[in-house]
Formats: sequence, C-alpha cells, structure tokens
Amino acid sequence: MTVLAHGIGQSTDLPLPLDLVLQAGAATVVISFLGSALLWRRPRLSPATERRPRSIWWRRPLQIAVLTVSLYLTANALLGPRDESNPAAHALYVWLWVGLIPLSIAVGPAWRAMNPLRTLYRLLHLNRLARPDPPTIGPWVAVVALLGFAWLELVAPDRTDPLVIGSFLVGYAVVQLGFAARFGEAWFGRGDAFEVYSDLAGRLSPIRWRPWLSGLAVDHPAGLGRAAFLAVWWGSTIFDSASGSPAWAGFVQRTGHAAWLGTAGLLTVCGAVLLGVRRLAGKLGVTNSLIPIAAGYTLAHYLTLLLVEGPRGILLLAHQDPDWTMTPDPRLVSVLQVALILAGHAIGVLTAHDLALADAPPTRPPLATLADELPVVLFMIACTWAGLFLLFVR
Amino acid sequence: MKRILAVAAAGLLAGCSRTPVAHAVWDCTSVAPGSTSVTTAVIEGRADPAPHRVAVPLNGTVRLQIDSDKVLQVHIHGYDMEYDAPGCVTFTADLAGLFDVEAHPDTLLLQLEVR
Repeated sequence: MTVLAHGIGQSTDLPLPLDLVLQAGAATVVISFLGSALLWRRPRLSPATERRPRSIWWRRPLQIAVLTVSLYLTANALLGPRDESNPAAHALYVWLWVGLIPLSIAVGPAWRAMNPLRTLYRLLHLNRLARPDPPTIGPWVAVVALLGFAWLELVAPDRTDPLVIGSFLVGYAVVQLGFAARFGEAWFGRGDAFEVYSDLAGRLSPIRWRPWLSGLAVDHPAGLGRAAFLAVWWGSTIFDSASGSPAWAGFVQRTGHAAWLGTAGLLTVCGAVLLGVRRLAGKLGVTNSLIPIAAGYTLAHYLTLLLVEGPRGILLLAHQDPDWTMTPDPRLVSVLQVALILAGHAIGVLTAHDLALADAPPTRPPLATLADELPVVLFMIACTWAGLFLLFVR
Repeated sequence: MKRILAVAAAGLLAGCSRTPVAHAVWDCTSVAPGSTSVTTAVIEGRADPAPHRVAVPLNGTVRLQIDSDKVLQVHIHGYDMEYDAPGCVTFTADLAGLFDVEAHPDTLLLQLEVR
C-alpha cells in the first residue's frame, strides 16, 4: 500500500456540485407542494403499531457485550495511551454519535436494547433506591446532556484527548445513573440523550413501525422539550458544517477566543432553530416531522466520516495498524448526500402534512389544511436549502 | 469534528514512522509551467491572506510557499506532509478531495480543493 492511501480519512468531502444543488433545491419545492396536495389527501400514518421482536434471547448477551466494550473503552480512555492510537474518539464521535442513526433507522430504538447504563443500573440493583415519580425534568436533562455532548464534540479544546473523553463518559454515566436511581429505570428513556436520540431516529424504522413512518405520528403533539432536543441535534450538525469553512476560521483568527466564539455560535444556531420550530409552526404540532430532516442531514454530513473512520476505529480497538482504508468516489458521495437530504425533506414534509390532516376537523377541506401548513413547509424548505447550501459552500 | 479526527489520523501516521510522500520536492526553485502556485503567510497566529480555498486540478502540480514570523509546523491533510514554515513544497495533487492546510495546532491557512 502506498502512503497516500492512508490519507483518505483526512480529507473533507468536496463541496456539492452546483447542478446537483440546484436540481435538489427545485425538487424540494415540487415534493413539498405537489406531493402533499396530490398524493396525500387523508391521514395515513395512524393508527400506528409498534412491532417488538418476538424472541429476546439475544438481548442479554448483547447487553453484556456492549457493557464490556464500553467499560474497556472508558478505562482505556482514562488510563491508556493519550495519543491517536486510542480508539476513544472514534468510539464516541463516530460509532455512537453517527453510527447510532443508521442502526436505529434500520431496527428501531437500538440503544434502548443495549444501553450499558441500563445494564449497570440492573447489575448494581439501583432500583432499590428508586421512588418512581413522573420525572418532568427528563426531557430537559436530555437536552442539556445533548448540548453538552455537542459542545464537547464541536467546540471544546482538546476534544480528542482520550482523558477528556474518558472523563466526559464517567461524568455522564454518574449523572444519568444518579437520576435513574432516583426516578427508576424509565428515566433512561426520557433523560439519557443517546437513548432519546436513538429512539427518535428509530421512529423511521420500517420493520419497527407499521405502517412505515407511523412512529412519527405517536407522542404527538410533542412538547417543548422534544422541540429543543431536535433543535440541538440538527442545529449542532449545521454548526459543524458552517464552522468547518474558511470564512469561520478567518473570523475566529481575527477575533481570537475560539472556544467562546464556538460556544456562542453553537448556542445561537440551536436557539434559532428552536425559535423557528416553535414560532413558525403556530398551532400545528409538527415537531416530529423534523426528525427525518435531522436524521437525513446528519447522515449526509457525516457519511464519509462513518464510512472511513468507523472501520478505522475498529482496527484501533483491535490494536491493529489502521492500514485498511476505503476511497469513496467523490461524485457518488455527493449524489448520496443529496439523496439523503431530499429523502429526509420529503418524509418530513409529508409527515407534517399527515399530522396536520389528522389534527384538522373532518369538515375542513384539504386545501385549507394545506394553507395552514404553508409557514411550516416554507420553514422546512428553508432548513433543507440551508443544509444544501452549507454542503455546497462547505 | 472531521478536522479534529483528521489531525489524530495524521499523528498516528507519524507515529508509525512512515516515509514522507515520495513525489514531494522540498524546494521550489524550479517550478514546472502550468503548476498552481500558492503563497500565504502566518503573522501572529493568523493566516494572511485570510483562510481561503484554492482550486487545483487533479494530478496538477502544487507549489505551496508558507512564510511566517516564527518557526511553525505546517501540515497538509490527506497528503500527510508536514514541514517547517517558513518553507516551500512542490507536489502532485493526485488525490481528489478537500484538504486543509494547517499550522499546528489548528490554525487553518487554506484549503486545497482537488478535483
């Protein structure tokens, strides 16, 4: 192998070609209006059925395996080599953050089935302490936890230092186990950011939900907590795209204080998205329809990271020299990115339309409902165009 | 995120003591006609001109001159080249992608857009 072949993981994706961006931008508008008006005149996503796996013999060994790997990775992050041969950064930023999305979209809420914190909770018999109340702060703890993770991933100085990652993981586990000891095991489903994240992506799973996508119609309308969670999820990914640009680097170099500017930028983007979701939606509770948009954009943004750095992390974990690498064709990557963003947009708009139809009184004509949705649809087109634009200018 | 993992990957390669890119020439006295020539400077930790993007045709020759007010280590991502600035390098851009050129630890100088 040549030396050059090792360098692939260090490139960023090329900017999207202009022709693809323009076609995709036009397609979003067509899908949004014609698709909703012509194809979808009555709600189709309810009633929803969640299908659970029939046999669960595999769950116990899986939980023990995931717990073992997690404990090893955390201990190795804290005590192991503080250099690039430590797989901690790959485990947290690539496998967990990015890999959980395709896994959950495929099989449903995967992290709920294997969450090592749940396994620890059971092994330590923490339920003896629990006095289960309805924990109303759950969704907000999940938002703060996700924001903390996003800050670590995108802004914190030394964020790939294994010691920093290990300390974050220990701190996260202690806080979550503490809350769970107080509120019972159901806490993880509400307050553990990664479980909520996997749950939301799992709403898109075709084998979990019948009819397909009906998972987006349950828990509806969503509260402010879920809107904030989605705003942090999508907003932090948008911030990552924007802050990788030379323009942002130049701005930071001119002013100094990279960490403060990054923090302010991250909070501003997430806050703006939240404001958009809550203000533009008006009476319509369409928060859930942002799930496919966030999932599609996150996958598009991190596609090559997952394909290239994911396997490299496994080699690091196995103490192998990461010799193996793959070379995704830049044009193919662009096409896949656009397809993911468009698919997310189409599903999002149709879900919003479906939810609005289901909420409308039966006597209301479909066109009037469509008119009610207009601000939401325009907001989603703006979100999708922003995503395409960021992948175009990079 | 991508950029940070990239730094990690680069360090790893250095750790494995791989040889530098074979076709890189570490001086720029003879420049082939038709090559892309870029000159940038680092002054008080800032890129001058401001960080920008340079389009390079695939398999084209790149001549990259970095001036600076003190000795810095410059890293060309993807091509895995590290050298001390002030300094200059000439190499063939035979890898498509968008590559950061950074002064350590993380001052972005420019991006090479090879396609």
